[in-house]
This record gives sequence, structure tokens and C-alpha cells, in this order.
Amino acid sequence: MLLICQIPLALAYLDPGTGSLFLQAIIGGVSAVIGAITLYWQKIKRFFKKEKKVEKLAANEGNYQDDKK
Amino acid sequence: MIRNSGSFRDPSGFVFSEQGKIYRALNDQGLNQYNDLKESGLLAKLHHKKWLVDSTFIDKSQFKLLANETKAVLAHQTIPFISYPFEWPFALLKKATLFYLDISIYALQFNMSLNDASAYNIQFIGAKPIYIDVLSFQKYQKGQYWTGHKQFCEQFLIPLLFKSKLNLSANAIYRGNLEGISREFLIKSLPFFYRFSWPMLMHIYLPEYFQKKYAKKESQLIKKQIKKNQLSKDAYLGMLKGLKRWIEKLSPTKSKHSLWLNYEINNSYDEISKKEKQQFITTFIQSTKPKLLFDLGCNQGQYANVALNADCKMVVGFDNCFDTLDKAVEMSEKKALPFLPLYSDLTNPSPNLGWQEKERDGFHKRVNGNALIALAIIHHLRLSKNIPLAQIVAWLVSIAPYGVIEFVGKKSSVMEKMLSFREDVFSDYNQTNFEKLLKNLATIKNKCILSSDDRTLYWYQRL
Repeated sequence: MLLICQIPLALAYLDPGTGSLFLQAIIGGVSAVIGAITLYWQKIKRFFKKEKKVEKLAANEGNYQDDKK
Repeated sequence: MIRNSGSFRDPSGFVFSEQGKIYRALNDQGLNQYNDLKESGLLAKLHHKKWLVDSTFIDKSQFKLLANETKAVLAHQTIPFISYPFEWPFALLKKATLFYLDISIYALQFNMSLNDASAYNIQFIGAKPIYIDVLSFQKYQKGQYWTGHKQFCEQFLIPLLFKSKLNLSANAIYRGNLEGISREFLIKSLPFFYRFSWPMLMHIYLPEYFQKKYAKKESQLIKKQIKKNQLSKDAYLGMLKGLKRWIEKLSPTKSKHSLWLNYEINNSYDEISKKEKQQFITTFIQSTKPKLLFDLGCNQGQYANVALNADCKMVVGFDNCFDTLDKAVEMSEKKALPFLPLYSDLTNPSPNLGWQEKERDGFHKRVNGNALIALAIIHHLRLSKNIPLAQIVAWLVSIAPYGVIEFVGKKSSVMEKMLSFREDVFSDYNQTNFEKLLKNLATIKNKCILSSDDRTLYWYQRL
């Protein structure tokens, strides 16, 4: 009954099978965790990249200043 | 108006026929689903790709017997011959499986999904699959599960695995179960080491384990888990694409000793006889111009090809050798022929099946009323299956009003071989008797004695 509440009406005539749904619930959970980790990992990567970029930019600016001299 | 007896499960509408044309009645829910499909842009794309049967709205007032709940009627393209998954050889089932996955993946691009995974919703025109149920589509809802996964496994994946992993064609088991083959059945047939195969674990072992563990317990935990988690669109797509990659690699384990696989090359008659046979079939087809021809004992489709080159619109072939049928599918696909090779043991053809024995039509109901060719099969029915010749002739003539039957005499090398280790108790099997039996039921329009190997072709017209 719970599944019927969750699944749109047109799907309700088909027995989805507890086994298949539970497997997908796990896949859903795992992929959500992987998704979250990926998201945070990218944020971390972006943070360091940004720092590196700033450093590089600063170095480039330094070079430019040197050239000017 | 004849309501299709297999169309009763769908809460959104039903299929009916009138004067040979196919229609679909839509109720409120069905009309909404159809409009969603149209508005998503998917309907037009699927029609363009010829992946979905054509459908157009038609004035519903012309059908007087429709109930008030019918809000609209669609006229559908007619499929020349309805076949069922348990009649498909491996090559066709694999095509249908990949086609289902392709449609599902494509639909998600339009924010639509398939609400079931019934193999009966796929039909073939030649060896090309087409989806026939417009009400299987509905709006994709964020986080939804793939509810058709279990059905997909039972109706598509598991029969394929039986052939590719165990070299067993599961068509008879499929026919017996109709709704597909259970995971439990496959698991009990598989060696233990398949538990270590990742896709097997994912789609067969784990779901079966969870099913058994939680189905009866009504556990609040599992309900919570299913309710709490969602399947992201990426994960949904990942499942479909992963299955596609896996299934693309599945191939049938070839039988080393298939008797019929090389029949077209290693048969017992010479090139001249082959040409005579081809000419006879060509003349028969050009004179009768059948829209649909049934080739009983079609082998790899050599004579189906001859018939199509003459003037035949479509050929449906039947054979009981799976390896040969896979070759026939390959040929049909390669040459893009309207030739559909199907599995059937003619002495045990598909009966009417399913709910009230009306859900799926049997062989005779679907085959009746067209032309046939039955080349070199009656000696097998007589000698291998012990069917009296009178019954064989009556059966063939009852199936098709006109056709070609090849009679293979006892002096033929193949008959000599068949009779070499057994007593000849088939006194009714002789050419004189065959002609007499045929003449009782039909006119012999033409006859050709082949130059070699004691074979004669008969073109008959039912009385």
C-alpha cells in the first residue's frame, strides 16, 4: 500500500517487487552518497585551484611588473 | 467492435478492433497520459524513428458500444502478424530487449518514462522491433524508481541468460509461465560462481535475496528505506545503460551439433533441383500474390527470400531449430527483409493462453487464412512424430487456402537415412496416397517433379 502512495497511479497496477525496489533504494542511497562526496570533492578541488590560480596570477603580475621595469 | 482479450490490465484504456482495424479507447487517465506524451515532444520523435505504432485521434461517436468513460479513441497502425516473446529466438529477444532499453533511455531525455516492461508490448515488422503500447509512457517524476525492473528481468533478461549462460532455450518454460521466468528459477539452474558476476549480482541475486528477506516480513524498516530513498535520474539512467552494455555482449552458446544449421549448403538435392524449386515458388507467388506467406520449416529463410523477391509482401517463418532461426534473423536484418522467423514446434504449436485462455491467441488463430509453403517437412511429421499422413495433409490444407507442399519420397537419400535403422511401418506414406489425400481436399493447380532425390512439389488450392 505504501508503494501505491508513492508511485503514480498508472504504475500501481504493476507489481514492482520488493526485491527490485529495495535494490534501487540502495542504489539511490549509494548514488546520493557518491553524489554528495563528488560535490564536496569538487568544492575542495575548486578551493585549492582557486588558491593556486590566485598565486599564479600574483606571480604573473609580479613578472609583468618586472618586465615593466 | 471486438475488445482485445489481452488488453484488460491497463487502467488507462483498452484495445479493440473493428473490420480488421485496430483502435484504442482512452479514459480520462489515458487521455492525460497520451497528451503528456504528445506535449513532451517524444511522441513525434518516436513516430519519426518508427519506434512506436502510428496513432491518430478518430471520432469516437462512430463506435456505438463504447462506455461513457471513454474520452477519446485512437486509430492504430495494424501489425501484420502478432508474435509473442516465447516464440522469439535468441536474436529477436535480444533485439527486443535492447530496443526496450533504447526507448527507456531516449524517453528520459524528454522527461518521460515507461511504466512497465512487458515484452508483449514489442512486436516485429520483419526483424525490426516496434513498440505498440502508447499508454506505457508517462511523465517522469523526480526520484521515481524503475517499477518495471522485475518485469524486465523476468520477460527479457532471464530468458536471454538461460541461452547465453546455460545454452538452454527457455521458450517452452516462458510459454508455460507467460509472464516471464522468475529469478528463483534461474538461480536454481545456475552454477554457484555466477554469484561473483557483478551484473548477475545486481539484477538477479540481490533483488531475489531482498525479495525473500523482506517480502513477507512487512518490515517497517524496508518500507521506510524505500520511501526515504529516491533514485536519481542519473542512477536510473545508469541502471538502464549498464544493462544495455551488458546485454549487448550476451551471445548464445552455439550448439556444436546443430543438425539444421548447414542444411542450406549440405542438403541432399543438387543445384538444378534447387533452381527448379526456386522457379516453382516464384511462379506460385507471382500468380497468387499473397500479402502474408507462412513458411513452415523455414530453416534460414532461403525460400522466404525467394518468395519476397517474387511478389510476396511479408513472410513469417516457423522452425524448431534455434541456431538456424538466429541465422534467419541475421539474414532478414542484413537484407532488411519483411521476414519474421519464429520458433514453433509444429506438432505442439502455441495454444490460446493466459486469462480465460483468451489473453494470447494460439498459432492457428493467428496463422489462419493466408498462403503457406511447407517444403520438406511432412516426412519429418510422419516419420519422426508419427502423425498419420491423412492428418498432416488435412492440417496443412486447413491452415491456408492455397500453398505449396513438398513431398519427399522414400527413395530420397534423406528418407533412406531416416529409415535405415528402423522398420518401415509407414505404409500410408507414399506419393499415390499423398496425391489422393490432397485431391480430396484441394485442387492440384500445378506439380513439379524435381530432377533429383525423389522430391515433388505440389501447388494446391483448397476446395
